Parts: sequence; C-alpha cells; structure tokens
Amino acid sequence: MKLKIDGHLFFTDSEEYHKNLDSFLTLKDQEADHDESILKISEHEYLIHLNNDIFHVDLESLNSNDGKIFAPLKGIVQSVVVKENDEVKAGQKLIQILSMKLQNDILAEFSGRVVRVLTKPGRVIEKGQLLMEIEKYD
Amino acid sequence: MIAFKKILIANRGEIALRIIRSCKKRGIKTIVVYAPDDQNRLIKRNCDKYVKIDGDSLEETYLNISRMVSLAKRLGCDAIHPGYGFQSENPDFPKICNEEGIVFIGPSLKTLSAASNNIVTRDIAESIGISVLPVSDVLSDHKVLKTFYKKHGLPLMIKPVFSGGGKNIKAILDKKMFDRFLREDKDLLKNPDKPPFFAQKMIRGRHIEFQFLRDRFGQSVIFPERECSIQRRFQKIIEESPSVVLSSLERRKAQVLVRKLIDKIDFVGAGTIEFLFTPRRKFYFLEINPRIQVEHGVSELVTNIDIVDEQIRIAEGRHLRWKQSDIRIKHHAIECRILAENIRAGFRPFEGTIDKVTFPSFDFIRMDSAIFDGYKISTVYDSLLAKIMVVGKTRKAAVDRMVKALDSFKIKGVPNSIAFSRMIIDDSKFRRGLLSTTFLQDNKMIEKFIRKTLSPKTVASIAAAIFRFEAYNNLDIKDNMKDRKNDGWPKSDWKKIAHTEQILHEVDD
Repeated sequence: MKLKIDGHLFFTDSEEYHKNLDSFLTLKDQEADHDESILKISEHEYLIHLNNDIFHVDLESLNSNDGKIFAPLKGIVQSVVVKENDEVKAGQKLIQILSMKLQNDILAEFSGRVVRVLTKPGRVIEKGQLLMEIEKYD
Repeated sequence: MIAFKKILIANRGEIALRIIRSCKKRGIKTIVVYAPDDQNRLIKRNCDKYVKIDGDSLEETYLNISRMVSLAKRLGCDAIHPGYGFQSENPDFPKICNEEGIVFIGPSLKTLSAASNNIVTRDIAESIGISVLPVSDVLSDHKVLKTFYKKHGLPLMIKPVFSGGGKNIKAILDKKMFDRFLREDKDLLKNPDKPPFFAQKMIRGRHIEFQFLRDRFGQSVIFPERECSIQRRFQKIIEESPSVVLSSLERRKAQVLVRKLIDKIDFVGAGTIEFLFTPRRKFYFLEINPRIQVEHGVSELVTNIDIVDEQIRIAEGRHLRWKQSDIRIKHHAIECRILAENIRAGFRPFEGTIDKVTFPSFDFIRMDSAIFDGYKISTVYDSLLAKIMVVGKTRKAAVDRMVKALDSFKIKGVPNSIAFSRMIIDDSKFRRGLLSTTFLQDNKMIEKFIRKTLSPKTVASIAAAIFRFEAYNNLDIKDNMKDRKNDGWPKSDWKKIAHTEQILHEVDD
C-alpha cells in the first residue's frame, strides 16, 4: 500500500509503519483528539484534518504511471522547459505554471522521453488538463 | 478640502472589508465591485452597494481601471480606494481619475509614476544619500545580465521594473542557476510582451520597512519600523513591529532618511519604504510601496492609529492630525498571513471550498479576513485567507499569544499555513529574534516542517482514517455516519476504529 501525502510518498508495508499503526490502533479513547475529520474531495483524493493541520492524500496519482502529465492546478503556463523527444530524468522540471502570483514547477515523476507537448507559454490551463506525455523508461 | 460622502472600493477580499470599516467610522458610504466568480457575502453585508462587473478575466474585472472610474462616476462616488495589488500602483489609475473628476486615494500621477518604477526610485534614493544596491540597466537581452554578473557576481535577483509586492522575482544564487536561467528562461527577457526586468545584487540582511503618512501640506509622520524578514519566495508571511534589532537612534536616523525621500518626490498619502538592514547595521534602499500594504495593521496596533482613516483624510485634503512626537511604540505587534497553500507540497496553491472556519476569540487579537464557511478559493486570486495579528506588552508576550491564537484558529476543507506559521513562531531562533530574509532556507524550516508533521505516527493515523472512511462507505453502514457535525463532516472518532477485522484486513493489502 502506498500513500501520497502532500506530494510525499509513503509506503505502509514497512515494519516501522506497522509498529506505529499498532500503537495507534490501541489508543485509549481519552487519548484521542476529537477535532479530526476527513473529507473525500474526489474519487482518489482526501483532505484530513489532524493536529490542526490539513493533509492532502492522493491515492490515484501513484497508479497513473502511464506517462501522462496533468495540470495540478489552474494557472497560466510560464514556460515549457522541455520539448518533444527530450530525455527527462525523474525530478527534472518540465513546466512552470503561474498561479496566485506564485510560480509552480511541474516535475517529472519518472525518467523517460517526452512524446508530446500539448501546451505552450501564455496558455491558461485548467486543473486536470493534459499537458504532456512521457514515454516511461523501465 | 472635500468631505467624501461615497467611495468606490476597487478591490476584494479582506482589504475591501478593511476599507469599509474605516469608511463606516467616517460615515462614508461604500460601493464595492466584484467579479462574477468572486461574490463574497461578508462584503455584500457590510458595504452599501455591491456591484457586479461582468467579465471572465481579471483584465475585464479587477484590472479594468476605466470601468472602475466610469462606474464610480455613474454612481456618484467622490473617490476610489484602490486597496493593494491589482492596479493600485498603476499611474494610469490617478490619471484617469483626474480626467473624470474622481479623487484617487493614493499618491498623485507624478509621484506614482516615479514611485512605481524601481529603477527611478533607487536613483532618487541614491541622490539624497541613501545607500542602494548595485543594479543593472533594463535587461533588454542576456548581454546586459552577463555584464552585470561579471561586474558584481552572485547572488543576484531579477526583478520587474514596475510594482512591488515580491511578484515575479527570481533569485540566482550560484553559477549553476545562472547558466540554467540563461538556458531555460530565455523568453522572460526576450518576450516583448513581458514587462521589463532588471538585475539587482543580493545581500544578506533583514527586511525592515517604514510606514509613513504625508499630507499635501508637506507634513508627515514616519511610523516605527516593521520587520518582515520571514518570507517565502520573496513574499512576506510574518511581520512584526518594532524590530528586535534596531536601536532608537538607528530608528530615528532611518526615519529622517524616509522623510527626506518622500519630501523629495512630494508623496501625498500613505506608503512604505522598504530597506534591507545588514548585519553591519547598514540600511540599503529596496523599494517604495505607494499604497496601503497588507501588513499595515501591525503598525496600527503598535501606535493605535487607523492608517486607512488617515489615508482618506489626506485624500480629502485635510491636515495630518499627528506630529512625529505623537507616534509612540505602545505595544509589540505580530502578524501571520494564513494562506490557502499546501506548504509540504512546496507552497502549492489549492482550489477548494472552506468547510468550516473557527476564528480564535480572546483578547488582544485582530483578525482581518473575508472568509466564511462555504467560501470558495480560486487560484485566480491570491492565496491569502486571513491575517492574524496579536499585541503584547513585550515581544515574548506577543509571541506566546500568537502561538495560542494559532492553536485555536481552525480552517477545515483547504490546506493552509496555520500549522507552519505556528512552527515558525514557536521556533527558538524566531523567539530569539535571529531573523534574516533567508530565515526559512537557512534553518531548513520547510524540511523540518515536513519531518515533524509527517511522522510515522501521523502517516499511520492518516492511513487509518482513510481505511475507516472507505470501510463505512463500502459496507454501506450509513447509520454510523449519523453523528455528523459541521455540515457534512463525519464526526471523526476514527482513532477508536479499526478494532474490526475488516479494517485490519484492509491494512494488510
């Protein structure tokens, strides 16, 4: 089982995780903080309020390793750093989006070759819009 | 002198509400405009007339100066308050207002033309003996940047010539970044549609700024400094006044420089001069903000002066009511800006709906905010959800109070920066006042925040919460959801969960 929490990947099959889960599951009622809540915001996304903090959990993006890069938020494309046929490494910047006055980088989650670029600087993009396709290297 | 009866507020969100508050105090009627996607029931309830301006883009709505001015004229307004951001620093605003006989609550066309140009203001500052940082000419091509680099080295900043607020600034810290900039961001400098940029040498220091008020008769008051060193991507997130670092002599010296500069450009209205204060205790001029600032409330709390009220009075043509000797430091004040951003995901803005907001309610707290349960956050606008301000007799008292305030401030439904602000405020270095504009990077605050908040225990809690939630839905035992509270959130007692085999089984998958 994998979880992506605020963009950070966690594996729940580690020993450490189970140790923590065990201690957590056996918490006595009075130790529980009653200000927690969970909200499902899409088929695969949750917002969890815990320790007066909010965690965004995405289960799907882990499985969608088909090389499609979608816009994570609405904004304006500032620059497209790679072009078709470029080789990209995991973690490399692909596209820069301007949203709420802030620059946001879209990074490659895996290494591969850029097959298609479907946007260009200046374009207004909607959340979830397909921006790029990458052929994944195994 | 003219006493305003009606003002149009050409802005949105918390600053629209803030301006309404001062107008009400003076018995001035307010008209506020809104874009079709941005209707706000709090503003609607508080203003006298809430007017929709049609259009799908910002250019058609909040950025459309001539529409604002003609609307103000048609509805019989005496003046327009531009707030901050949007067109507040655009010299066209006072220009069109002048043409239409509407008072612009801000500096004159001439002053604003100078003050909104960062290269011009730097040269004026230098001419009256204020230290300035080396800057390049307008970056018309890469050659200009390379020449500047050869002469002054790194790190450097690439900044837009017009407007402030930390927008579109790029820092180049090392050679690798410099080369990458030349390679990747070619169109930033070459694109003729882009606003002009210039390069500025970057040095270490604290962000110290001085709020001022100046009337048309040349009388002015300079407020005690605000320190706004805690920044992310060149935008302030925590501000306080006074700074821990300035002596009263240094404060007075800087205030003299500020007065000289605003006299020189005949600045009428409210504004702020920003400096970098180095470890060698030297002030370097950064820029002039010729408008109300987001963090003005901090200075209001320290001095008990309503800056927006004074701004309106000055625009009416009245004499300033205060002398410099009236400006005293009465408290220590701190502000945290709470943003709709996912800090752990690299300050990523979030589009969504606030499910439930609970504001802290105890003494010596000021909340400037326009959010409510059901408030929709759009990435078209900035991510500011609330400004939380506290005062204390001492800095320590203010910091302690801020920690408590943040603990009782809850926003559900959107990722936000409450927990991150709390960690910074309670950090030992912050408490000791060891600040610089690179505080977050130097102290690895974001990494620390991620480590602290995504502990194995928290991750386990999160996983269990999801299992339980899905178990409920899949088993269709909706009865268990009866104990809902807060408009549809299941009452969350999921820490008690999972005594069932069912869920444990799911964990094993």
